Amino acid sequence: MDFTVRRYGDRTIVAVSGDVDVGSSPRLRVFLLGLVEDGARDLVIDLGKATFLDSTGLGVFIGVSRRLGALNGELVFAGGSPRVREVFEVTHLAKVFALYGTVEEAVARRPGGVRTAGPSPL
Amino acid sequence: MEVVLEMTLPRNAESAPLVRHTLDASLRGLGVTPEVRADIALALGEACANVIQHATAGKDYEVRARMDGARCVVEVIDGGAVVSTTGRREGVRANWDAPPAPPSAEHGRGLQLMRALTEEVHILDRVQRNGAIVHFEKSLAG
Repeated sequence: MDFTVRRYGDRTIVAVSGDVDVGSSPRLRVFLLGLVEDGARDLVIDLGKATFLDSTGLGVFIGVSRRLGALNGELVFAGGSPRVREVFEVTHLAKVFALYGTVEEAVARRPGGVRTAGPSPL
Repeated sequence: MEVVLEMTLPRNAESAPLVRHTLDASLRGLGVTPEVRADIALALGEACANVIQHATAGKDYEVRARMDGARCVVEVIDGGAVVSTTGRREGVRANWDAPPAPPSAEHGRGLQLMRALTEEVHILDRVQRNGAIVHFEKSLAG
């Protein structure tokens, strides 16, 4: 698993490539919380090159999202193979997180107001 | 043709991708579709993650997979542990038998994924050996 970080204004885009699993999730958690610690509040996780995602990866995303929620920040997702998106669907997290088709859509969303439907951010 | 894989793995996080990719290579060799292989890889990953996350460091676990043209049967066997405090095993069962995780929970979705993507998901306690067998099956017909 590798990360690539880009910034668009206040938005931080983290492209995750490779397998997000029980082996790599601890590194992902440290990395994302480090970005939050350094001031990132608006995180876009680009899953376009993620080859595998399991429940441990989801757990990391939930933990980071809760941390950001406490700081009035937000975590959203972009891209992802049908398989990766199915993991969100099966676990009902597609209703909790905002999943955008592309990074461009995630970046172009209105500041602070993300979804037109669905529950509040965690 | 039947293929049987038996792996004994250290209970560390690096073993999970190794076992996933090993089984996947066998399934690919049998001509199984990418969709079915992905279901099996995820279920196997979840079963391994459960063992690894509740591990006693330094102990091994086993993965046994049997494949023919029609079906893949997988068992992840967490039974070789030396005796530890009873609370650890109770914790594993509580985690896996719990109702679906609430949206804000960081854990508890592994079994949910396994049941959604594969068949005959069972968790068998091995009281004598202070462990468990996680069993699942998947039709390879696609």
